Amino acid sequence: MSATAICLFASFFILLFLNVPIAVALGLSTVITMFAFELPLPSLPSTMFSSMTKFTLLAIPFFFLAGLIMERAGISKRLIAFAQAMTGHYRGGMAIVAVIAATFFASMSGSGPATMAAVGAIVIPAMVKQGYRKDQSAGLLATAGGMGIVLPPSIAYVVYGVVAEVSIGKLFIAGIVPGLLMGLCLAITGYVIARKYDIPTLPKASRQEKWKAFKEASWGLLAPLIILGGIYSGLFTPTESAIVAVFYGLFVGLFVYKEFSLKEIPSLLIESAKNTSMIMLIVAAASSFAWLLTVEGIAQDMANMLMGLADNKYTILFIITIILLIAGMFVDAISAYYIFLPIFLPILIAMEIDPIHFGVLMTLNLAIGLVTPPVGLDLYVACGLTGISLKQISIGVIPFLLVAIFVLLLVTYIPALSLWLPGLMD
Amino acid sequence: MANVLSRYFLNVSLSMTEELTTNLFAYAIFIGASLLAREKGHLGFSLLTDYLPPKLQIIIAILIGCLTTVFFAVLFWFGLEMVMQQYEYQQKTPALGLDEWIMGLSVPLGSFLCVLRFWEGCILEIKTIRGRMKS
Repeated sequence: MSATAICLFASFFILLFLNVPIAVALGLSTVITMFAFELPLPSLPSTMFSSMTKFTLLAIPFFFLAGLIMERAGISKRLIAFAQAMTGHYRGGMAIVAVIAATFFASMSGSGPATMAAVGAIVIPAMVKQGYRKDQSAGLLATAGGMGIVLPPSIAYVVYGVVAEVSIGKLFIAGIVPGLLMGLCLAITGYVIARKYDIPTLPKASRQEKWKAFKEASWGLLAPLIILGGIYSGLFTPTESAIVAVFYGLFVGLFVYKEFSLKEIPSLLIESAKNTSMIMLIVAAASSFAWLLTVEGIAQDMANMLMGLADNKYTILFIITIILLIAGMFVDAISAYYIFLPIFLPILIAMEIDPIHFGVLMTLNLAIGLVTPPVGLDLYVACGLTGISLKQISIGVIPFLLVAIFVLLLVTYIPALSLWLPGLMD
Repeated sequence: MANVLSRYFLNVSLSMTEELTTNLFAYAIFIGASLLAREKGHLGFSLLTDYLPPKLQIIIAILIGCLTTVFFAVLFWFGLEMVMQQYEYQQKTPALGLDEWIMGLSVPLGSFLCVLRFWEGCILEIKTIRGRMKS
């Protein structure tokens, strides 16, 4: 490895462990390296500026806003009630309810922690009341929330699409089957846990009750159909789908459920602006980091080094998975795309790995990163919701984590899982 | 703040001018980032530093403040240089023909705001650590 590479990565990790904000750690390690090796620093602001002013990235504030509005509009509440009426009387019903509700919410909003917060706040107390262990309930919800970035629409795919220069619409469609598979496997795990601890079932809902719950929730159930159908048919772009989701949520909240008032809008706008700024500052700093990786040839060197380790794509994919699982413990998904994609993209070309397939598996990998301690955004949200410690939830999440890794391996080695649906598109 | 945002949201929903919205987006990002800085809302890795004794934590908080300042100062300085250059050559944006330097100004201006707010956040944090030491 060259001296520039060592300087860049060493300074980044030292800053990271000192608890410097990730965005600043990425930017400052770039500045230090450029200064030390007398590279042209004046080009830094324009690199950052042009990475921020990409039209596609404008989808991010809207996906945040959509998630916030859907939550306040009362959609998540009704989805949960509907799922409960349908599956509550089966064994492990409450766990299945949690997964179904999270799946639907994930296919309306673009972020993992948002899914976790919207569904978890209602479902975790209900699960604990039923007799599930608190740490396992929180662990299940945190993992299911991670699906939020695998199932479309997803902010993660928007960023991957921008960095890897592939169609975001196709990535969205490719994420559907792996996301649902993950949901299915999590639901089965919930069922197994319910059997093990012999958790009682809820009374069976009558047909009228089921119909009523369905009618109430139908506006929420319709949302993913509109959003994904629109993207699938090519009616609107991913950025536009985010705006459609915002207006759909507003319409339902204001006129159908009438739980939302216009007065709440300014505070939601500010909330989504803050979340967006956090991500975009990382995007700006990380893209200068990625730029340095590329122009200095560090990325190519590392890619060659990785390819020297193995000569077939199955082994390479396995090595990449391990690297990403470890990286996911320390950095967030957005930073990971910028740091690792410059290194991985040449490998994808050399090994003839489909970039759409890789996008899904990398996102799934980073979704697992959301629930691996010490830096797992979903775990922090879950701790905040339930009041249990990071240590407790780290134990509770283990069974779900293993299941998620199993799904990851399936998606990695069966490309058809992600490529089948987008293949039907052309 | 809300004004800037609503303006840019309105613009997008009418899908009028890509150029203006993306440039206003840059302003909004820096303003949002500086707001978050005060609340300590930026993602970080606090696991190691949380276990340090409070006195060391204060020193680290100040160190983080200084390091953050260095980063934004570099951004401010070269951002200003970029803006001056854009002004000197009278660069215009390709589609609307607006002055490029007004758009570019978001970088130094935003960096300046971020430095102020990060220090505000830093001082607030030192106060809470001190409070914890007393109790």
